[in-house]
Amino acid sequence: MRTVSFLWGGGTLLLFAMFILGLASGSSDLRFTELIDLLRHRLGYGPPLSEELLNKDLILWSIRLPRVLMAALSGAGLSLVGAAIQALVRNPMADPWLLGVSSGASLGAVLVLVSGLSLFGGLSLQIFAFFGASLASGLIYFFSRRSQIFSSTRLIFSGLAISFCLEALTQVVIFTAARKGEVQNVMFWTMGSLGSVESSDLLVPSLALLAGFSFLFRSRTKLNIACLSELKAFSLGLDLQRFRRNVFLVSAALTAVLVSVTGSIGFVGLMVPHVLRLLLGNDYRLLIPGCLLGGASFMIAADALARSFFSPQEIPIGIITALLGSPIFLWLMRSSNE
Amino acid sequence: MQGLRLFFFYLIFSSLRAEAAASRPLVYESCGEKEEISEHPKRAISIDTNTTEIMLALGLSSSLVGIAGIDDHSSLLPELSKDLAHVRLLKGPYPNLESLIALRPDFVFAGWQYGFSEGSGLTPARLRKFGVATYSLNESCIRVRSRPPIGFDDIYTDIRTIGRIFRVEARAEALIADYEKRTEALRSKVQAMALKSRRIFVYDSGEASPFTAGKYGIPTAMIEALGSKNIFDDLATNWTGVSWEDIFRRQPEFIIIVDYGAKSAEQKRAFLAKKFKDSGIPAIDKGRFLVLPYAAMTPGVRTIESTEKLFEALSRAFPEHVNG
Amino acid sequence: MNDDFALQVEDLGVSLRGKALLADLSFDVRPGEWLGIVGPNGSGKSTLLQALVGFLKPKQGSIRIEGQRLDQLSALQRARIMAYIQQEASPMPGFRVSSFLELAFHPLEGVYDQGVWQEECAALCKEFQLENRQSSPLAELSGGERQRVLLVQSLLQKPKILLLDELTNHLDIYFQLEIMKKLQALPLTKVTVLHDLNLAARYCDRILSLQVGRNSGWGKPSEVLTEENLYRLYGVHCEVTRVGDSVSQIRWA
Repeated sequence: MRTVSFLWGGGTLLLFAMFILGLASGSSDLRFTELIDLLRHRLGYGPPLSEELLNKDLILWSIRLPRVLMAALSGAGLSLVGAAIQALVRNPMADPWLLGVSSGASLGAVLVLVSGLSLFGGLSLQIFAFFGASLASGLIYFFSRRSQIFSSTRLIFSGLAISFCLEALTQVVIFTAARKGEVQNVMFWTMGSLGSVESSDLLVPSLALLAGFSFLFRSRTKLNIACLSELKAFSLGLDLQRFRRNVFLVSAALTAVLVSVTGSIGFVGLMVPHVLRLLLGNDYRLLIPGCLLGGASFMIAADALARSFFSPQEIPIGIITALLGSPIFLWLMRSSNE
Repeated sequence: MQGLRLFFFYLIFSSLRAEAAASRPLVYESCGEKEEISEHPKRAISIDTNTTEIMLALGLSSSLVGIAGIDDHSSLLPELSKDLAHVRLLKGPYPNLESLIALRPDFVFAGWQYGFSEGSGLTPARLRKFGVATYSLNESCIRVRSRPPIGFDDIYTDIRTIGRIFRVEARAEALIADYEKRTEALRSKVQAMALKSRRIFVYDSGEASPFTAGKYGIPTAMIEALGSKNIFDDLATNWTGVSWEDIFRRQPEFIIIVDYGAKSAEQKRAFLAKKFKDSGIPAIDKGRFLVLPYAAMTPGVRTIESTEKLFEALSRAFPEHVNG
Repeated sequence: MNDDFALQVEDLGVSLRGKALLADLSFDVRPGEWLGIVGPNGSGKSTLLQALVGFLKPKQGSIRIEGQRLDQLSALQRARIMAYIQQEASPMPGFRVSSFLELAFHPLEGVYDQGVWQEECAALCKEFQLENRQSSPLAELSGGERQRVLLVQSLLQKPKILLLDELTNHLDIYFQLEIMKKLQALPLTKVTVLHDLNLAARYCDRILSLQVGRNSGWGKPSEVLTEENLYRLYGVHCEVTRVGDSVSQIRWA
């Protein structure tokens, strides 16, 4: 299909452009020529660096690069999960939030932050966030099934109920905690942030994204079929029960890993797949690569803005994704003829 | 055999000692964590007003390359903010990691929620990876670990540690001696006047619910130094939100208004007066207020002076004790 | 086992949450035959079709397709023999005709040449006048176009048996006849649920009439579509005109 190769080519170019933009923007000035110098230096060419450039070198590779990479991973991952969940519940308004992962992870993280618990050393925050996320999606999965049948309506309702419940619990923990000073940290966590990302945080999310993407890419036709009625899907030879369970588990695990590193970044998982759907049509053979490249590009751009707009401060990236995303979303929705 | 082993140990030990003597590493404690630096910092950054003022009061402006977390120099004490032309000012609440690293610092003096925060990624652990040493305000340690009750000793420890780190121990001790002398003087005055314990409410901000100082906030130490009681000294934190009902229940006899933020002190005072009109709260009925700036209510070089001001205000508010 | 039958149903019973929807149904369909299922609302026509496609599991009895027990075939194996069509409106916006049609290749993946399939797809689209609608969203199609897309999709599944649930409902008479003519020309076994008894009489080889989940007549149209049986089924008198062995018209009184 010509469209597919065009999409891969164009998407990769866009992602590369955003990658460079992400590396170049931030609170300390880095001119494009300097960026080139630093890249050349890294590759073993070019003159030795001045003291000023050495500092920029440090900032570029130790602070910005991990951030840009993590932005790409989480943007791609959340968009893919959003697209998958939308097929899972056959509703374009579905969001990774429905998996309960964000609220579960927030609860886990908040418990660690306010209790000062450090069972696993510096990693306790991530690990508890992951536990919380898994617990929440496990509960939602449990309530979505009845007599072995997985129902998408049940998923939506149990997802809503459990997410609200866990968010309320998070608030309870915040308000009753002895060490209330952590409220600001918690706020940052629940709104999502890439500020604390280090290069050592990247391995697990990369592997999770790779696994999640290859599963969804292999399932692209099945995802299309899953958008139809259950009966139709069945007659096209797709065991929807099993397929939905697998999509749920893969999506929940991928989101849990991402959220445990960055906190819950909203709106991306809802918006990116739907914008792409308006542009490309509801065809998962295009949406899956589109979400990978488009989601990554969007998040890198949003993070670049979050870092440079109010520099030297940072605004939580969730604010940028919503501010940037909503107008695009509304505009596309209006100009589409459906 | 045994002798040979001992000989090796001796060799290793002596070489280690020689190295140690050459660089004379300095070990200090920051929120319970041991920190080690090989030489005193030359490119320091302080975040927030009180940490900056401690640095400046110790005469360390030449060691500073950046000040963050304040809007302009006018929020610093004028006598301290004279030669700061060479210091980069990172405006706004709190900076991010990148903007700090860009100043190539070797030391950051801040505190938890005074710039450091787990969520934003600006933490001592993270800075250590960039070869940047840190010291966190003692008062702020409550955000990351449990700690004994607050007192002026916490400020003295901050000043003493910064003094050691920058090799200005003498200046630090002189400052501390002055503060101790003034605190002692206050104590004897309080005793001489038999100033009764008063219930004091610290109003930081907030209209939906008030924000105030708890057990581990430095205002509690200031109030207790004068023999009075912070009405929220049962809350095991430094700063926190409470409810208006609690204030009504605890009937403060005196209110300290922290002057900062979007609402002016006068607006805050008017708000409280309106909120508790005819409620029978003594502080409001009798109009017993003291306004102190934000920096004066955080641990630092203004703390003792603020305590003196509080003493003056209390003795004016409760004149029966001046004569009694 | 009998390979002479495309579809064999023996003593079929289906219940849902303890409620019997179908009971004691037995009939068979020979290859190439067109079976029409008729009956009033709630008589279990769609339920029967869902059981035939394997979506509803029988509580008793058995269904065999091409001599093999349905419950012993995998979803993919079933999909290679049977295609099922129902009124389908995609709940997801932006589903385009070409993407929708290509879903029919899913059960054929690995067992059928994709290049050949694509050519067949193009040919069928041309035959059904859909070649200009490839990139249109499903939601923008007219009723007639949508039915044709559904039919083309199920034909692209290369089935031997076609199961249709009320495909001609809500269509103008022109499109109804057009679809029925196309179906008649297909050399496939067909099982269709029909509301219009005149269409059933005209096109089906056999009729099965259902009444509250039970067989109330199975045979040639002229045997099933009798005045007495129709009165029993619908509670309405009618006049059935016969020409020779076939029913030419049913007029409701």
